[in-house]
Amino acid sequence: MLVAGNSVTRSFPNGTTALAEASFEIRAGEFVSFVGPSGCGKSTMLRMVAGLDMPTSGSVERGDGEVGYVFQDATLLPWRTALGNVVLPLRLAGTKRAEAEERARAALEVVGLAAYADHRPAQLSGGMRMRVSIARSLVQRPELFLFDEPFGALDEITRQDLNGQLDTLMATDPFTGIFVTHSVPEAVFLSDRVLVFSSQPGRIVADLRIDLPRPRPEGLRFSSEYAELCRQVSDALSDAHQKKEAAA
Amino acid sequence: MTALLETQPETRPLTKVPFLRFDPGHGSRTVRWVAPVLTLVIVLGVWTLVSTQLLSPTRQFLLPSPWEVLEAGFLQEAGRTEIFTALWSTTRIALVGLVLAMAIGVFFAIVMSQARWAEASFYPYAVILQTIPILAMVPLLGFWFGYDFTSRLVVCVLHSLFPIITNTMFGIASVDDNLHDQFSLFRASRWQRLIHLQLPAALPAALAGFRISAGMAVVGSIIADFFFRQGQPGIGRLIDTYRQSLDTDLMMAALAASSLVGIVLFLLFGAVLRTVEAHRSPRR
Repeated sequence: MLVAGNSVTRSFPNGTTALAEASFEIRAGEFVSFVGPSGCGKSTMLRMVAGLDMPTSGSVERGDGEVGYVFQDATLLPWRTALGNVVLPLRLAGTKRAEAEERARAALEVVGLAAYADHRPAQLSGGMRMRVSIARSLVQRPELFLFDEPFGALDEITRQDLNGQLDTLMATDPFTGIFVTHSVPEAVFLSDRVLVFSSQPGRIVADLRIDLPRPRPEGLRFSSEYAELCRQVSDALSDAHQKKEAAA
Repeated sequence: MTALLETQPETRPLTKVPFLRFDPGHGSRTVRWVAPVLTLVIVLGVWTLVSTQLLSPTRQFLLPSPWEVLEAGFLQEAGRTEIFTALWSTTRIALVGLVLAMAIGVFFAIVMSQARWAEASFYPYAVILQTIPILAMVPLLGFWFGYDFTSRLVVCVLHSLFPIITNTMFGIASVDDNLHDQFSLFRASRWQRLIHLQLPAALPAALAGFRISAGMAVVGSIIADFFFRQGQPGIGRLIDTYRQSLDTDLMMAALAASSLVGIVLFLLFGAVLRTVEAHRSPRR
């Protein structure tokens, strides 16, 4: 699915401008990360792609098809089991119970939680809850997958594990993805392209291509190639930050 | 300033680290059971002393001893039958009233949560209704609904309605914004959002409201007994009868019995609430 932002500006009633004239284009099958300091409008941009927010001027466009959205916290319903949560979007869309449950079990299988179908969110760890949340988006077979800092609250090992699972998912069944994160290594690991945002007002200041094989090879995180790409993204980020400091 | 960072040979001896954490003091299980029992024993003791030692025999009818109350109201067949028959009549009205108040309260809470105009139209009057003393409405209700079962039920519903409305509304309003966004992304209809998100999320708050209202329904039912005297007598009317015949022992027994229903309902809703909350939150 193709996604495009055309001169997107978003200002809030309190006078802050989250985004100013930001433009980008994402091709079908591409996985793109938005990185930038807090308050740079990257999450706002993602919400506009999903239809949860509206630009003040400019426009956000996307092709037809199912959209999956994963929030920073798992946003599961605590009174439903893992399976009950994953089934929900299908049931709301009118899918028959038997078919919905079959597809939900398959989605839980993909994230490695088939054995936990009958557990309630309170009985699962933070990482497991996030995987249930991803399964709940997967079950809708989205063509566009939006992630709003989904692994920000998780510990480093769990985070790397989930990064790996997401990479495997992309390699086996490609989809278009947008991933908002604060973490440079995470953005480089997951993405085909990294868009760097500056803050206040948010603009896109760099568009970096990540040419790494997919699925990501074992030990990639310790390669000099990976370190160099991380350095490039970090440099672009500090440039943006310094310009902001200088302007202030 | 470098002197601050300069390392000196440490000569002071090590001491054990003191435990600093503030203990809000819930106490042990034993304390939680023993303390209230102890309070009861002391109160009953003082009561007995006042009744048997301090009051002159001619004035003892003002405060019969705990034993006399127990004997007249619960141990003797006549008193017991009279009190529990009346209590059942009061309880029946309280229960029917509570169920009605729950249905009406939840219905209005849902309606008000679904549209701003509905909230603006009804909520101020729900507040006003709350501020009118129920006793002041008694004569009017008598004119409208008679002096029987119906009027007692109306008093009971009016008296217990408000906490159900406000608690349920609060519960519905407390749904997390992200969950609302998630349902928007699922393209859930208004009805689906209500059934699958708002009502289940509001359940604990609504139950807390029911628990408060349960006690108020019993009180409403007893108040109504005093004024609407046709039909089967309730505990309120019985208390008034005992007042006229100066049967203070029976009166106090009836009073104790009347609190029984409220206590049972309070514990019942509390247990349901704890079960629901334990189901949703991680085990500690």
